[in-house]
Formats: sequence, C-alpha cells, structure tokens
Amino acid sequence: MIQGWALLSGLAASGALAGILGAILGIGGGVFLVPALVLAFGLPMKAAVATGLVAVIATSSAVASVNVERGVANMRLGMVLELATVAGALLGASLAGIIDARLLTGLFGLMLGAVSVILWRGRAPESPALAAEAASGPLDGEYFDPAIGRAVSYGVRRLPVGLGVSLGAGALSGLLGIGGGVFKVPALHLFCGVPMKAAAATSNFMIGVTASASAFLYYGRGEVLPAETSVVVLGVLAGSALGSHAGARLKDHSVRRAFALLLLVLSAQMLRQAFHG
Amino acid sequence: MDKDEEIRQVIHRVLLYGVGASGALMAAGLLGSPDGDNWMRAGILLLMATPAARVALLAAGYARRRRWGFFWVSALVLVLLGAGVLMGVRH
Repeated sequence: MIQGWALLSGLAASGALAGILGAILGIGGGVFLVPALVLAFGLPMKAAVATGLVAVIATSSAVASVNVERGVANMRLGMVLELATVAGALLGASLAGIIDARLLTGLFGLMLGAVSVILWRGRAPESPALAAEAASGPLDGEYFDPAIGRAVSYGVRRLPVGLGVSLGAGALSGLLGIGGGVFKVPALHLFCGVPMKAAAATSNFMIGVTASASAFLYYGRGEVLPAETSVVVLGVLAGSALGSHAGARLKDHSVRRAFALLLLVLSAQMLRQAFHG
Repeated sequence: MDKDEEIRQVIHRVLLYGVGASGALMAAGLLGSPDGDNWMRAGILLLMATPAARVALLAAGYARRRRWGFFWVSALVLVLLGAGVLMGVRH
C-alpha cells in the first residue's frame, strides 16, 4: 500500500506530466514514467511496466475523448498500423522477463538519440509531383488546424516502413511498458508524409490500443498495483485535460522541436540507466 | 471533407463517459471505501477496455458505411486484442 503524502503526490505529479506531454506530443508518457517509477518510487520493474501501460491507455483515451471530434487523428491509417503494432505487443509482453532489460534500455536510448537529431532537422519540403501523387489514397487525411487557421490535406506514403516501425514499437511496448509513440510520431512524420500534429494525434489514438494488448497480460499475471496505478492515472487525466487545451494552438514546427528535445532528454536518461543499472 | 464524422461523435461520447467513470471508480477506491481495492480494480479494468471499445465502434461504423477493407482491418485488430485478454485470463 502507498505510504506517505510525498509518494502519493509524486505519483500524481508524474502522471500529470505524462498526461500533459502526451496530449501535446502524441506519446503515452510510459518512456519516462516507467523509469521514474522504478528509480524514484522503488516499484519493481514489472509493476512499473504494468502501471506504465495503464497510464498510456489513460493518456490515449483521455486525450482522444477531447480531440477525436477535431478530426486530426487519421484513424484509418492508425488501424492499419495497429495490425502490426498489436502483434508486436503480444510478442513483447510474452517475452518480458526473458530479454535483458538493461540491454533493451541501452538500445532504446541509442535509437531515441538518433531519432531526436533527425527529427530536430525535420524533413525536406516535398516536390509538388510527389505531394500530388500521394494525396489520393484511401488513407489520406484532411483536418482543420486552429494554429494556422486553415485546412491541411496530406497523403500517406511508404506504408511498409510505417508497418515495420509499428511492429518494433509494439514489441517495445509489451516489453517496456511504453505506448510506442516516441517512434510512431517521428516515423509517421518523417517517412509517411503525415504533418506533425496529425502524426501526434494519430499516434495518441494508436498507443492506447497497443498498450491495452499487453495490459491484460500483465493484469492477469497480477502485476498491476491498484493503488499506485490509480493515483498515477488520476494525475494523467488531470494533465491530459490541461495539455489538450494548451496544445491546439501550437504550430507544427513547435511540436516537432519540442518532441526532438524530449527525445534527447529521454535518450540521455536511458543511456545513463543502461550503464548504471 | 471529413470521412469519419459520425463515428467520431459516438466515439467521443463513449470515451468521455468511460474514462470519467473509470476515474470516478479509482478515486472512490483510493478515498478509502471498505472495498477500496475492488473499486480501483474495476476502474482500471474499465479504462483498459476503452481502446477496444473504440476499435469496435470504428469497425461497426465502417461496416455500416460498407467500407469493408477498413472493417476487416479493425475486426482483425479486435481479434488480436481478444487474444491478449485470453492470454491474461489464462494466468
């Protein structure tokens, strides 16, 4: 059982931070929540992973309950990619405990670092021919962006790359208690041609589905701690409500750069954790 | 202009009520009702069900609009999620 107000408010605050960032950047918050739960709050790894998964679901569903109306998330694309992600998640959750967590954390940290650099620089402006060819498939999307005051239209490209990244992100989700958004958002934006805010919204939609695939496995194994999880989730709900309202007015490049910075911080944290244990 | 308008409105409401209810259950459990643990577990399980509910509603919406490709994709995702639940229950 939880002891002390310090622990309680710490858990709630961690959840709130996850919720705020999740709402704006399309991630679930598991990438820093899980390490925080282990390192700062002393939870065993599996309990932390289980809490992380539930927190990702909370961020995803809470944010979506607000912004699904805005039509920014590309749910058709999300569904297609989820086939790969959920398969990966089931695999990952089944393998948890067999694979060395420190090795994974180190690899994860390296990948995040690389993605952070690529994402900071952004993608090259595309040729009109490419753009025209792309915007006519069944997965293409269109939405109104309040930050620029007009509709944005885009086509989806390189779906196989998206599927590959999704499979990997799914496996990491099941193993590490994350939603996979840290990979999905950059992949959607850099490879698949999705504008940053649409990538974040689509990722937010997807990560909840991904996390729920493995969450039941962890719950069934008795690894979910009800009290700790509840406090974190309530923090997430508060944070995502805040973040949803703040994030709508942000421009695409602000979101991209904020995301790149976050990844850099996470990368450093992961690498430190992998080396120090 | 937007292809999924009607489905989105339904999903919005289901998620709002689902998340709200699960949060309320968790809060009730934390505030020390005698059966606290069970209230929290109920809230957590309800929350864990919201993504699947979302996918199921999308599938139903696609079927209604005869968008069979996306219907089958969503249905398959649901089957995989169901497999996850079964794998959990088996423990």
